Amino acid sequence: MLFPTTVFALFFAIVFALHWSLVPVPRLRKVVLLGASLFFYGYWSWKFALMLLASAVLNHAAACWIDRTDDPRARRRGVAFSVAANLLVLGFFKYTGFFFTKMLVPLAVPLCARFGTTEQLIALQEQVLPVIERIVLPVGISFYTFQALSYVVDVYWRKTAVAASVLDFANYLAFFPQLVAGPIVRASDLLPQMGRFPDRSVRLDTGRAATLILGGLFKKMVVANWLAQHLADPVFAMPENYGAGDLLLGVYAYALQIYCDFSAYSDIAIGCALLLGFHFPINFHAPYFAVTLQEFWRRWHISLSSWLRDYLYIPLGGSQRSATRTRVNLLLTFLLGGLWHGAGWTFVLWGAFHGVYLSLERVVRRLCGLPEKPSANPGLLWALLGRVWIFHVVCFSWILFRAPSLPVAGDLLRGLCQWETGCQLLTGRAVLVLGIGFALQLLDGSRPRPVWDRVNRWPAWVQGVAAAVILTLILGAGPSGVAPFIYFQF
Amino acid sequence: MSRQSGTTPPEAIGMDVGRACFCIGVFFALLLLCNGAAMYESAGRLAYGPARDFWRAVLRPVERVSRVSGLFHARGWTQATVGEWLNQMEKE
Repeated sequence: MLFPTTVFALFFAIVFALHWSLVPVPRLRKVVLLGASLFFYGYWSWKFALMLLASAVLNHAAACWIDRTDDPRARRRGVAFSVAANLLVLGFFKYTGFFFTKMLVPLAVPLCARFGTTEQLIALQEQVLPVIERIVLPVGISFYTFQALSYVVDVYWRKTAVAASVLDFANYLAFFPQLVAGPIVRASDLLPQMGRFPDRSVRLDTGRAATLILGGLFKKMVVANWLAQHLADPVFAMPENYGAGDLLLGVYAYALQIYCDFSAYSDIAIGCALLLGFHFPINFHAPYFAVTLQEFWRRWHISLSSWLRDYLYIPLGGSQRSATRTRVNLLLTFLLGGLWHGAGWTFVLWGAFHGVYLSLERVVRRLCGLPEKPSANPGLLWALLGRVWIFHVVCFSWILFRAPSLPVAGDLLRGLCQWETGCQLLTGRAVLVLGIGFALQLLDGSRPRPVWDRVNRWPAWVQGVAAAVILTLILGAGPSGVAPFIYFQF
Repeated sequence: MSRQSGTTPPEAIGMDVGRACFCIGVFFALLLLCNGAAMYESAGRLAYGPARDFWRAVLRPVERVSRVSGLFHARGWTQATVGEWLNQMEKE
């Protein structure tokens, strides 16, 4: 079920009404919310909704067992088993094809040629490939697997109390606003809220919720879809047909498209949760205003970057050991972060690029005698230069991320190096939409708080009318049809 | 990489649940009236089958009220002006 659809609007209206009318029956309210989340997911595939439920039951059982056990070795075995089981399921659905076709076969081809068993390899491929092609990636599996892992590991580290019931944990894991594309909300943030549902004494920040939902729909339906349709998709589909100016425009367009698309999903998720009385942490904070790449990762997909830091980078040793070890840890973290996004060498290279650049950034800052973290108030010129530079560094990495294959990425990079005059995609509309996409970052974080507060002071009916009129304008301005969110594929 | 921020629930701001429910009710009612005709048209573009029949049956009365009230003009006007200007494909 996609957010910008009639079906979701109807679904949300029903869930909202049930959620607030069942306040006197708390247990039923929890069951209804879980049922709604499973319906939301099962609307796409019931089989995978059952798998999600099974994941919730098994992870909660593992967490309870770890929590009850005092023997450190048994606890370690328990957490290792749970982590391995989660990663196995994720690996099976997400990486089987990649492992077989992109790693195993290319390695086996020269070996089989040497030992004269090429025919057997071809026969094996003919048998295995149809099976692999039947594997369907469950939407959002990467997101809910990471949430489940963080819960089990936090219980093991005794950072989070085990959920009071499997119902609470299932509601945490399957909560529909953030189920399929994040944010990856930590158990310590959401589980207590799932344990004690908000009652009618709470006040709903409708100003913020409306701004987030309508802003998110505008970002997705008008800006991201336009940038994809008119600039990014054509350029990345056939880079050889475009000159350097158009290619550059296509890359800028993709950078803004992925920001508008993904942050839109997060904003709508946060807004919907707010209307149900739940609070999520922010996931984007004006990422293209970053002065360094390190700062970029503090502002982009914050829930994933902090997850990778807490459950991968720091357990590997973080920056507490030697400089070389820190660099290796960074590289490993980003390689796996790249692989989390997708099973392909382009994603691995994207992660490697970020890991290597972050390591270099640390070295250069140390050589120049600069502090590890950039100053909060750098000079105007330095901030401007830093922002422009980092925006282009990130844009370069998006080429690897978006290109369907390494040869296409190569074609695009080659095209960018062969400058020609003329730019057929550069129009007034393109400049306008790119500008709006960039400026929308100003709505991130708590910057629009004065606007939310002002909206909150309006009478309820005025808020409802204003929101309906604005959404109608958004629906009218956007292209027809519903494009799925980019992060659904991860 | 930073710690997640904004995790603390904000102070009691906004409106109480009852007024919020009323606000959402007004929102959905007006949204239906403004977009009823467009939604009915869109349901007509679904593949033939029970889902299409269901949505057309559900949206038929909404479409009528939308047309009678004249509120469908808001969506139609936006689509005909901003939407068409913005979404037209560039001439080769």
